[in-house]
Amino acid sequence: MYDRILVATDGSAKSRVAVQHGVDLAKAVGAKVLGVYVVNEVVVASAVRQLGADKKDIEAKLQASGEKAVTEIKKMADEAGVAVETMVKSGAPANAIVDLARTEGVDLIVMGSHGESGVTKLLIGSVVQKVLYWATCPVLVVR
Amino acid sequence: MYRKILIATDGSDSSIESSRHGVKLAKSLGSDILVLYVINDMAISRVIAAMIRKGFAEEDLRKALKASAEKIVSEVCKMGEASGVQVEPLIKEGDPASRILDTARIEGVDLILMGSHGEGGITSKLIGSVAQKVLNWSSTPVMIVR
Repeated sequence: MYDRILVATDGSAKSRVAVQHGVDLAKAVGAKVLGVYVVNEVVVASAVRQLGADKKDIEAKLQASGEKAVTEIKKMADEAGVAVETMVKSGAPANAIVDLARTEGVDLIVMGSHGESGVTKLLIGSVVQKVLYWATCPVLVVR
Repeated sequence: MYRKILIATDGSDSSIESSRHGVKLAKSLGSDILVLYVINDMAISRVIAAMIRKGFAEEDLRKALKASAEKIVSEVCKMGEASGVQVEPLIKEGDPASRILDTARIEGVDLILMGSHGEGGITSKLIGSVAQKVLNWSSTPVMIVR
C-alpha cells in the first residue's frame, strides 16, 4: 500500500501521539518510516530580532531538540520493528515537509493536528493546515 | 490497525479516486468500510424549489436524488467487492460535514477518509469546505487524499 510514510514531529507531546500512530500504520502496511523534524527558521529569526538571541546558539539548541525528537521516532520504530530513517531539516516547517515529501517520493504524510506552538483554540494548527494545502500526496491528520 | 474506515464520497471524480485509495488501504489492513454519501439538502433546496415551480413533483425529485446517491455509494461497494473488502453503504441527508462527523462518532470508526475537494470544489480553493470542517472538528484521525 505505502512504501514510505513521512512522519513529522516537532517534539511536542501532541505530535508524539501522531508519531506513534504513523509508526503503527507503517507496521500494519509494511512501510518504512521517514521521521522528520524541521528547525523553524521563522522562530530562529524572531528570537534573534526580538529577543537578541545569538543565531548560532538558538540554531544549535533547536537542532539538538530536533535530534532528540527524531531519535524518539527511531526508538518507537525500532520497538515496532519498522525500518526507519530520520532527518532534521531547516526551513519553514510546512514548506520543508511538503518539499521533502515530494523529493523523497513518500506515499503518505502523517502529522498531528496541533504542534508545540498550538494555540489549542485554533481548530487545526497552521503547519498542518499549510501541509494540507500544498501536499501532493495523502495527508493523515491525527488528533 | 483500523477496524472500520469511513469513506465520505460525493461522487465527484476526485472522491472516486480517494475512495479507491480507501479501499486499497482497507484491503491491506483488513478493515471494513462504511461509505457515506450525504444529500446536501441546504445546497439543493433552491434548485428543488425552482424545479417544483417548473412543474416537477417534489417526490420525484427526492426519488431522483436518492437514486443518484445510491448509484454513487454502490460504485464504492463494487470496488470493495472486487477487492474482497466488506463495504456497508450509508446515505444521509443534511450538512455534509456534520453528517460525516456524526456518523464517525455513532459508528465508532477509526479513520475518516475523504478527498480534498468535492463536487462543489472551486479548485482554486486550497482545500474544500467540507474537508476543512471535518478536519477542524473530528476527534478521529482524518486522511485527506488529493
